[in-house]
Amino acid sequence: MMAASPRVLDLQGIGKTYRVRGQASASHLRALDDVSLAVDRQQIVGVVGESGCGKSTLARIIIRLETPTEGTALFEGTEIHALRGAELLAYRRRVQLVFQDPYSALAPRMSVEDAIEEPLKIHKIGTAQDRRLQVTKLLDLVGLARELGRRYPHQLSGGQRQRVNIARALALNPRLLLLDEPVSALDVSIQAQVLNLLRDLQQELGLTYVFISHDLRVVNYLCTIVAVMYLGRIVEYGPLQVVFQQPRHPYTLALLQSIPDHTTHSGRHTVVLRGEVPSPVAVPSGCAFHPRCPLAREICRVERPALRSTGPGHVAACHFAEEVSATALIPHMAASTSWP
Amino acid sequence: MVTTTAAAKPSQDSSLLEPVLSVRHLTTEFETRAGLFTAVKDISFDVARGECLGIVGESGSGKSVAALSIMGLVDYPGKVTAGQILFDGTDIRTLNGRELRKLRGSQLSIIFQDPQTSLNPLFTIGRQMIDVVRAHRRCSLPEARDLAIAKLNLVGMSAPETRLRAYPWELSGGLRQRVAIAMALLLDPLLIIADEPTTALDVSIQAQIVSLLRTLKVELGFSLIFISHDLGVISSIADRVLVMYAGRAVEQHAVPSIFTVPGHPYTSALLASAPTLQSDRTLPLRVIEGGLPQMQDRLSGCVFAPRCGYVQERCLRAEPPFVPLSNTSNHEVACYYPLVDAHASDGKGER
Amino acid sequence: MMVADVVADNALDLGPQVAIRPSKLRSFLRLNGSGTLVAGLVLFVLILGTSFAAPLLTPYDPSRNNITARLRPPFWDTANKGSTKFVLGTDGLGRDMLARMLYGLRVSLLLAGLGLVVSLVLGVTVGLVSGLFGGWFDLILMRIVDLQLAFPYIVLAMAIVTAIHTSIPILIVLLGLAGWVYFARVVRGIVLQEMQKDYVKAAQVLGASRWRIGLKYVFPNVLPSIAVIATLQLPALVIFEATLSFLGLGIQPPTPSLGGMMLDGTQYIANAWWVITLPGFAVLLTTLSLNLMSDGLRQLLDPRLQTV
Repeated sequence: MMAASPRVLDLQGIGKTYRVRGQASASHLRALDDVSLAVDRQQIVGVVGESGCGKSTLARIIIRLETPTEGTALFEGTEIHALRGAELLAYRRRVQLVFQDPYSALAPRMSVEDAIEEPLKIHKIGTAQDRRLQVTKLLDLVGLARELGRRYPHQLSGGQRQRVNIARALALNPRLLLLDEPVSALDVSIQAQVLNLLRDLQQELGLTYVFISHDLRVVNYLCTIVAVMYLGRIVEYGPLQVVFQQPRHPYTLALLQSIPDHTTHSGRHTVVLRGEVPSPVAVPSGCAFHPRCPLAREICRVERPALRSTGPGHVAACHFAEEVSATALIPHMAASTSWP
Repeated sequence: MVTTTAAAKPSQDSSLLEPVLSVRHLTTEFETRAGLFTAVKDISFDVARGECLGIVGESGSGKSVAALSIMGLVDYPGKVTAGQILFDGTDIRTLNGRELRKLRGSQLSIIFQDPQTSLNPLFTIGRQMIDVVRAHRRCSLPEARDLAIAKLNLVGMSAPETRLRAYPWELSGGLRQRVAIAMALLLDPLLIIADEPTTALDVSIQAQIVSLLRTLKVELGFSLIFISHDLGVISSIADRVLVMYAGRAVEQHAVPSIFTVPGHPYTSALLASAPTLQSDRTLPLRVIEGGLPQMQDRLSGCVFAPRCGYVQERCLRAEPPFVPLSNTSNHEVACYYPLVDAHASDGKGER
Repeated sequence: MMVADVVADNALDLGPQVAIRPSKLRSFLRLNGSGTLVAGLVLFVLILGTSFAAPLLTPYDPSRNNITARLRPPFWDTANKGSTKFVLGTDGLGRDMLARMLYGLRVSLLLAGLGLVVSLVLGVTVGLVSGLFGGWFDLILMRIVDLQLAFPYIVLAMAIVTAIHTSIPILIVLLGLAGWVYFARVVRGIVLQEMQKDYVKAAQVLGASRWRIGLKYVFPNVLPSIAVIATLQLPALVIFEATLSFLGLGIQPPTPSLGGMMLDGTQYIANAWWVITLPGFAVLLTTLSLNLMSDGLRQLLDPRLQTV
């Protein structure tokens, strides 16, 4: 059964505000601000950003653990947050999430088999026998030995636990898989195993991924499209190769420059972005990045830049996107031990 | 009088050529219900004056326990059971509690991974810093305060006088780590151990902190042991690298040679499995099959043998010693069949 | 302890969890969880056993008066006519103390036990529903809990008992209503905590219903705490019942009850110390055994446990 449109996910103008009790009085935490994102079938979309950028909030909104304050979120044309009852259950079969911390995402008293079988039980799929069979197939799919099925989470290694999470997420044959920092908690060598697995699975099963991470190196390896987020906004979006090789937003460039690389030893000459990330409770006016941006001018403080095209399929939210380049920035961002 | 300029001057009678830290055959063991667990086994390394040694390893490598062992912070049920830890000429293992405490925080200090738990949430930063100063030196309150302010300035904190009154939880992760660095620098240490100081920080903040440490090391001349699992971060600050696996030292060499001509199969495999911005996306990442050996599985032979792509019979019989590739080489490897020979490794850029 | 954390983290990748032995000092004093638990358990089982085996252990009828033998001291006080005929002496009406204590214990434990069941069922249900569903349920139920906690329950109980003629079922209900709030509060707290955890969120994402999450995921984590609170509540209920009886509002004579015996004994404090002291001691022992059990349980289940 072919879906009419290749568009799997369509987020438009998503905003999320939390009311928080700060140290002073009640304030508003703007976790997401006018975020629009489109994901097509079989794309691997990376969402990158540092703390406070809202990427995890975005994932929770897509997966319906949170509701947006503004905006629409469409999955294959249907508004996600209007679903109820059986429709909601059907949605859950099509969109799944792999959590960041492999250990806490597994119920401590459930065996691996039970955990993987759980979604099948919840959706009343097949007989008990069918389900057991499916569980073994899934264990094979993620490269786990069948004997591990009887073990409990605390008896597994980090990499094994994450494979269980992946198996569980795939049990319902979802169309869209959200992955929230799935390898951040793993050692480098285990990370490689899981990344290879994710890549193979995507190709074998024709999955669509939304891959959230703060580690650009991992995103660079796995994703084809990338969205860069800062303080609840998407500041740049486009084909990964293009964005990483010719970024059009100063923040993207700074992020890329901040990554230390042992093969090129570029870390030795890292350009350092000054200052701290402001709290989402007090988002700067105009362009959220302007207090730290070496290219900032008066207009940046006043007017929020819209995402505009800087190439085919490539958009950036910067008034001076054309000027963004390493040579333009380095004199402004000299490595320094202090900041304003 | 308390000095506000900082220069970690080595003691007059020790030569500048003597390493500030010399660890020999350090072994730390833990008593567990399942038996004796060797967290660190027979590791040896030096840290020269003004040098940064990076210690790289994944979980279970023992790198953090090694750091704690050097600081004398290993307590029951763990114990340093063998080895020599020569710090500025004195064997730390021979010191009693009082002498150790005198050393810690002043000449030898440590920065932990999570500034949230290493700073006391109940006291202001100023109070904590002043406490450290006055625990080691006789000076008045204003003098200690001035010193704290000077150090906060050094680490690039704006408005240090105001910051003194702040509580740790009022600051962001990056700022807290700067405070931790300032505290480590209060008494002009000879050696600072940094245990994964940037792991919990955002990438851009990580770059700031690494840059800060690099600059301070050059300006003040202290030695640094930087522990991390991130090869990239290590490459951006370390002068030499020690690679640890399952409690053992498996390789030690200068940067950048260790990244270009690794001698130990584990180092090589680790480098190949870490994605970088330059990685070829069309190829799968190289994978190290299997996992760390379980406690009861640790048999004779090289500890990496079960996962090694180059394993031979000799590797299974006895653990290879951690030795230089040749008499003149500074490149040490614990392997019977290192991937490079002394000539190849010394040919490339040595610091 | 930081080092242990470091080792524990490293140990996680070594397969089955390797745990660190408790400190030498603790083992030495034998105050670790299992020791305490066993001690308490043994004592409690003894008490329970003897009280329920009362008919086998004593030939006396606890309610039969024997005026000629009144106020005999325990057997060791031979100077004042103490003898092994009445091992622990007799009370003001000549009834054998030991028999009365054993039967009285039986009554007390039975009442407290049934009261505990009532409060447990009520409290856990309220706590679960409150934590799982939140909203109005939670608001109203928790305000009721607050009200009851703020009010001196014993006064309320006294008022009720004085107004309505006391009977065993009423007493059980009263006891049940005394303790449910503690269960409700703690269970609700744990439920709220567990609901924040990733694996619960994972279950939600998989499509699990609220009920399924509550019963399959959250409830098993609630059980250890329930066990601890139950062992703490039981002695509290024993004392509560004894208090009511002491005030003349609980078990009515001639049915023996520890509190009632203590009430009788107040008049003889000067000349017959055993009449009030011995039943008090029985209450003490029972309470002690249960507290030891609770303590031991808590230590064994820590840190997976949230205490009251």
